[in-house]
Amino acid sequence: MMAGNSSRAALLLTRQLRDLNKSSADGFSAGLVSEDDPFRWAVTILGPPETPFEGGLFRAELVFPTDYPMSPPRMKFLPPIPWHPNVYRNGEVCISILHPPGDDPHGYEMAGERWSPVHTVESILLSVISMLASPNDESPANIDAAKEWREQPEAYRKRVRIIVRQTLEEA
Amino acid sequence: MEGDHTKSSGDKSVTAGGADPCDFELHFKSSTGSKFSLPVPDLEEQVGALKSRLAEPSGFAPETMRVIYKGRVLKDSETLRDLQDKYGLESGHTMHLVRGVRPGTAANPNSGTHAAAAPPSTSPAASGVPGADGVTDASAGSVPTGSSFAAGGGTTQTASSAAPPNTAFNMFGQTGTIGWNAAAGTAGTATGGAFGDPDGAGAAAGLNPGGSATMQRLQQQMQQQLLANPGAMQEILNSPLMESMAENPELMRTLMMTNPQIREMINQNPEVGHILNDPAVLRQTMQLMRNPRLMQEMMRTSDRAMANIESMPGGFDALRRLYTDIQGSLDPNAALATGAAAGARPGTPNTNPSSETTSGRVSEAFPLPSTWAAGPQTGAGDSNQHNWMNSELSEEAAIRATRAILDNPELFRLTQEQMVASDTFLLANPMISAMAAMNPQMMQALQDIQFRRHLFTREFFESTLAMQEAQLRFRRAIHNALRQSGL
Repeated sequence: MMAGNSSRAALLLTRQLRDLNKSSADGFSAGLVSEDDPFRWAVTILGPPETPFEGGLFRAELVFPTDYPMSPPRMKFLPPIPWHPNVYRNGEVCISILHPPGDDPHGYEMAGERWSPVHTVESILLSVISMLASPNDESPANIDAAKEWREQPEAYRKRVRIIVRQTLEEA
Repeated sequence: MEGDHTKSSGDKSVTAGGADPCDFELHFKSSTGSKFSLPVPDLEEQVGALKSRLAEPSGFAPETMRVIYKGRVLKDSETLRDLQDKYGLESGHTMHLVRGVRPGTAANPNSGTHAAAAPPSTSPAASGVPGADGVTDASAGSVPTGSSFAAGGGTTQTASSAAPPNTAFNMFGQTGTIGWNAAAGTAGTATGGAFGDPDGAGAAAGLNPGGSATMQRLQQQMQQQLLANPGAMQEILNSPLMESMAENPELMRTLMMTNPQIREMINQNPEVGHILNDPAVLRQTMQLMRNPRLMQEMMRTSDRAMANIESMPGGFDALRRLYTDIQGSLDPNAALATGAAAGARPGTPNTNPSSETTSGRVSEAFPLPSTWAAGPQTGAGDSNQHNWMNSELSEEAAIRATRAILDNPELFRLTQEQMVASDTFLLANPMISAMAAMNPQMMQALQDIQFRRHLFTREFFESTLAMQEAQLRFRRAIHNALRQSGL
């Protein structure tokens, strides 16, 4: 049973990756961390235009559970980590669609905003890109970033720009 | 998928590979939104070589270009064959292109301040290590000062601001301004940061050491004008555009980095890079430059400042080290061509360090006004003539600067970006603002970023430039006619 689930998940992920590479969505690029493991993806998100993140290359890893798509993957940015209300300082992304439907530790999210098996890697990454563009400060993962974003937008922007530059140097 | 992968790696040993090389094509999506495809005749091609081929269609310089494939930023040394083996690259796949920063231009948010604030000689680091020694670094900023305190951009500003009265489409002059101003501001930073006082600050670093004869001529003309018309500089520095430039260290840095010598210098001396990267120092320098009297004085006294440093105990050593560390890495011709203290020093990097004979040599060999020798001559002319010459020269300078921007895709893109982003830029032009005042619709359009995005195309810039050139010719013709008919 477990093995069946796992190979189905592997198949699905492999197919999603192939589709992504054929059509190549805007705003991100995705591949596997290692070619023999379809459950760990390496992605690079291009900082969305007309936001402070513009021009940045944000690298992240997606780790999928063996029962994907029944459960969501976890996503973690690699350093330099975006300074953002919804990104923990360790890089973990806090976004409602990555939370399992039954589990709402913050009590803020409607069931409809949470994970559902219809989501694909592409829809996840597009949500993350849209999150970068418009933070949700109701349940911040980085409280300082949320505060700064709300109260000192200029300081927030500057800090983000510094990180953007760092992401370009890492590359 | 798995099958495909195995197949392609298997084929590797069979020479040409699975796909017919003639059919192998890659698609590219640039962060500016453009899309294009390139054939790949040889899978052994390295990413670095691919970048050079991508430079033209993408408009990104190969050094700053980042190619992203399957979630990874590709390394220059990887071949496409590697990508095929590792990630299953196939014909028809798409890669993303992004403009990054040049290698070696670290954006460490803290280091700049540290480097600028450190007084010379307090650094515990071993001397002799380029860039690690406080003394060396501090004076590092000053060498370019002496060598061609051209204030590359600073004077360009003057050039364009002298033009408004008779340039209908002065917008262009200002465009030229953007590029070189910023550059000067940044270069000046090194100096200001290192000395921390206006005397030492001198003018901006030699931005175009020997780069091109045209730029040198241009610079010379601009220097003259700056002296003749100090108020102009202030005008420009106070403009909203410059304000926003000062707030955009990234742009300034990129502009700086378009100069190969400066890039080289920073690569070899990361500490200098940090000074240049510090927005606080940048701003400070800008502020300094806003005071025209001070600026003028600074420029005049830069030779003197060099001489003063030399007469300080250990000063000459600092200068010498600085020269070997930094100036030595620049084009020696450049230093000579621009001709102030450091350049005039016959000592090349292998000068005997203990030579005592050099004390005071700068001032002897090159009396104070040397660099400005041409200035007074120009100023001596009939004042009407002089003004006319000024505006004429400045227009030419602006035209040339604009050309330079148009010729450099990266610079052009930055300029364009800046103009699109600024809703006050166009209004700074007297003619445009008069037009806008009479036409509310136009005023509204100018404040719309979409409108500006559509307006500031390369075509627009080029046609404006053509117009400006024509106008210059036209006025010249009239001027000549007037002169010939003795009026």
